[in-house]
Amino acid sequence: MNKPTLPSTRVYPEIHISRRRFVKSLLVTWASASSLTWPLAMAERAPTSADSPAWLLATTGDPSAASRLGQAYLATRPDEHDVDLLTGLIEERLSQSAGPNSARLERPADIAKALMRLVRTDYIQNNVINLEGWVLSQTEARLYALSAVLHNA
Amino acid sequence: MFIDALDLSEQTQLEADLAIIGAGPAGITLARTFAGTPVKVCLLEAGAQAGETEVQALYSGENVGIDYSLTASRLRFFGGTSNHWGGFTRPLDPIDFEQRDWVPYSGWPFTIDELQPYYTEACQLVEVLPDRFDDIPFWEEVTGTTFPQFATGRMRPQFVQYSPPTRFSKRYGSELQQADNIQVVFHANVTHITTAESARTVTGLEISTLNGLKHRVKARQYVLATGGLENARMLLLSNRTNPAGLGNQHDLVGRFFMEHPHLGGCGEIVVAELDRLPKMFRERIKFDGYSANVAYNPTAGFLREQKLLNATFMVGVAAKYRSDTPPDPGNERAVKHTDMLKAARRYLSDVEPQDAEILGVWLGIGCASEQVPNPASRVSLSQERDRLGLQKIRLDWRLTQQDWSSLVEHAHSLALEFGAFEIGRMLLNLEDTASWPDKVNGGNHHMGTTRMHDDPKQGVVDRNSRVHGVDNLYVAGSSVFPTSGAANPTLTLLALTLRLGAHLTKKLS
Repeated sequence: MNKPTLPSTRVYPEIHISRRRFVKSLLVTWASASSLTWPLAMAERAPTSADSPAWLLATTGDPSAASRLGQAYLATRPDEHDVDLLTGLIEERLSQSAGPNSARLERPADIAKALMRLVRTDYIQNNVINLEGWVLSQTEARLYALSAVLHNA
Repeated sequence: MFIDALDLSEQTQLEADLAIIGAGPAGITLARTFAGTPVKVCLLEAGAQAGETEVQALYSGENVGIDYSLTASRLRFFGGTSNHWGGFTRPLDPIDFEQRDWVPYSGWPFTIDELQPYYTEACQLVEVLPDRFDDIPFWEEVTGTTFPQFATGRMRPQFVQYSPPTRFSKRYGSELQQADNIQVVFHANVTHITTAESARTVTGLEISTLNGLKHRVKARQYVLATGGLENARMLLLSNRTNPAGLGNQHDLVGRFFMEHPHLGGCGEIVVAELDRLPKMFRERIKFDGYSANVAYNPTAGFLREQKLLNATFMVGVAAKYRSDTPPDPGNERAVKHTDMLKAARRYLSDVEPQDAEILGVWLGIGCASEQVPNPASRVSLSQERDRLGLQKIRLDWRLTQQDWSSLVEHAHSLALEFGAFEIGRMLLNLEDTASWPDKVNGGNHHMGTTRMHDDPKQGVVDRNSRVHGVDNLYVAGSSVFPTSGAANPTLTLLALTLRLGAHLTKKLS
């Protein structure tokens, strides 16, 4: 079977990871954001305070649903119960999926879009896990795990 | 014309060019082929024009395999099982006709191309649009929507159409009644197919009525069209010349019984923004008197790559979750669903949660799958006898681990597809390491028991549906399917019947 290609219904920017710390902070922002807050808008206003997970948790709403799923994931992968490790794994996947001529990721919104694209790519490429019966993107599950770690920090 | 065997005097002999046993969709369709021609047809119906309890009871039998209702899954009166048909209409896929090295006993004697013209005609019979089962642009235009793109390479949309559903006796009965050359005989239970001493030629049919009358039918050609279970039974019962049964010189009659296992609750899909999923992908749409919806089916490429059996899925809205009403904490399913809808919302919706009255919906999933042809899955004769003194059916329906694993993989594909759509997340209730549950439903699809193959050692009938070794006996219906695919069998059995009609027209002219 040919490798499936992404359909063009949604356009996401190609990305290039240049600053691990920047990405990490955005991932923290992303993962700890409330499901009640639209992520792109949130990501646009997040970077300056991204290194303050506790502050994020207090200001971006209730991430409890994501955290519950994240806790379930961490119960199956206790070795990943670490913010640095989780962000590193997600960053690695982002790097793998970046195209050779990709533009640099500068804006938080672009990274948010890149993460959405990555999650979708996971489904297309069968890079998924079974979490309590849910078929979930590996990246998505780690984002929930990150939310759980931060939520319980 | 219509006559009733109960009204005939004892030992009446009816004569015709063509005797058709069974007035269900296949029998009626075949008889219609000859309406108004010089060919004299005798169409034998065991029941009446409407259902009768004592007649229906003749379908009772013994189950020794997966529990299966022998009486509720078919109807013994004029129009046959079309009288409770749901109307699901779709042809088999081209791959279903192929010999697949991962599917034992697979391969039809011809490709789908052989059936295409008959499929077109069969669509007219059941009042659906021909040639629209894979036509995405057509349905996009009809619905005015752009369909989501299937991105994984595993699945594709196909379009199931719904017949009104056509009740064959109501739709075509008067046509048969008015045809001078067609006799429809009610309450005519065929109890034996008699043959010449060599068993190479059928010489007649023995008829019994429930009030004890006996009659005979004599014809030049005979067609058995009593359904996928009863066709095998009739051949096995006709055992005076060959004790193993007519056409059963290689112990194939009754073997390879196949159903389309239907597994309810194989998964649940949560969707945050229902508008992202076109209506046709979740419910039946109607236009110009027709109706259809999308089936989520595997691609031929994926079936080949992964060596899987065919399957089909459909989804429908089961329940909605309001944003302002938390689920009952005791309702585990609702808690799981709403947690996922909240957690994954950013992937699944453009609507701000506070602006959404509905948090999301969950979609129930219906699935039907192909099973491998399995000689151990079979119809044989019970020691119990019915009111006519005939041995009842003994059904041993079996499924294999291969059937199960294949279905699980396809359900997994459906989960991937909804993730890739950015429309939903799926809870998969099947595990590959498990096996079939004790209770499995079928689709009332009885297939394979008189399978078609050019080699008499591998099939009961040849490519023209003629019983191997018998010059003038044919079988119509889904019992001749060598493999089942995942599509509902009605359209294909009608196409095969029309093809048989063309063959017999030449033979009888």
